[in-house]
Amino acid sequence: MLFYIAILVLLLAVIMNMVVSVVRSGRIINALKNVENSAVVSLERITRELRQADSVNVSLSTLDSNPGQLVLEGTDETGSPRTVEFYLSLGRLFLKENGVDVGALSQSDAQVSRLIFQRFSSLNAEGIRIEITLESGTSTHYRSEKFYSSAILR
Amino acid sequence: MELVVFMNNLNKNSSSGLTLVEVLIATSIILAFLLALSGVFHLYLKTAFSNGEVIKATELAEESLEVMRFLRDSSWDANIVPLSLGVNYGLVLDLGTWQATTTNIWVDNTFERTVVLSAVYRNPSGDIAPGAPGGGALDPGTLLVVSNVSWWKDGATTTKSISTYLTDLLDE
Repeated sequence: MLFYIAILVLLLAVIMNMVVSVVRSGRIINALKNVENSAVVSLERITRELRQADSVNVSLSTLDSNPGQLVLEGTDETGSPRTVEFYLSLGRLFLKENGVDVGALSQSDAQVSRLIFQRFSSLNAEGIRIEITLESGTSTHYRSEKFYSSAILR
Repeated sequence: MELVVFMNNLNKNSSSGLTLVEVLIATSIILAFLLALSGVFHLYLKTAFSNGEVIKATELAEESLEVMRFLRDSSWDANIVPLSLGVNYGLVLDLGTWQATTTNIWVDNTFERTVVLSAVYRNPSGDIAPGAPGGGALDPGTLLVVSNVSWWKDGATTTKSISTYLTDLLDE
């Protein structure tokens, strides 16, 4: 009888261990997913806007320091002036078009802890390097990742 | 008659519960199933955890190509022509401009990033002829740029490579 109970306990222990491991890993993966999705969407939008822009408004932008702010100027498909602004608010990256809030680029469960825009230029070319650090989760399933990207104005 | 006695004995045995052998077989089957499930889950975790590095490496590789376009736009003659073909170059952002250097550059002490230039040859119809110089005439105004980002993971080096062609658009 004791032998049967021992086998049952062993099986239960293995199953419980697996369940705990799955739940814990799920939380970490969820935190990673928040960070990675926010990074991909944010960097993609910033680099696309940079490539479409005519110039960087250096006086209205906050360059080389955290939290950074980037103001780009260009024209839309009808030829009208278009201003795009990327800024941080309460740890989330937001986008404004012509002074009107379009929405957040980073997810609500991911925090942008560091955002730096660095301008590089020469006589014929100009671009921006983006450094963004995102974090998500707490305690054992906390994750923080730093991403870089650059784009030049076309 | 004998068959009836045999069936009665069988019923008696089966109603007395599982034997040790049956329990061991059942346990083995369950454990084998759990082990297989655990293997699949481990593979899923490995892929999920390495995804962040792949995204970072891809962004860095794309950044290299963008930087090479910046150097090309700035001056083909001053920035691109002096670079040797087949040599690994690192890219450094210094004092508001990018520079190619032969020094190894590590990003965040994790990713080793290089770019390599190769000559481009064209066939008589003007299309890029891949491979050997014999495949066509050298096009001095075009170069193949390969951006490599490597990192160490689980005892092996993983490399992400992307490439593009750079053309002398502005200096001519």
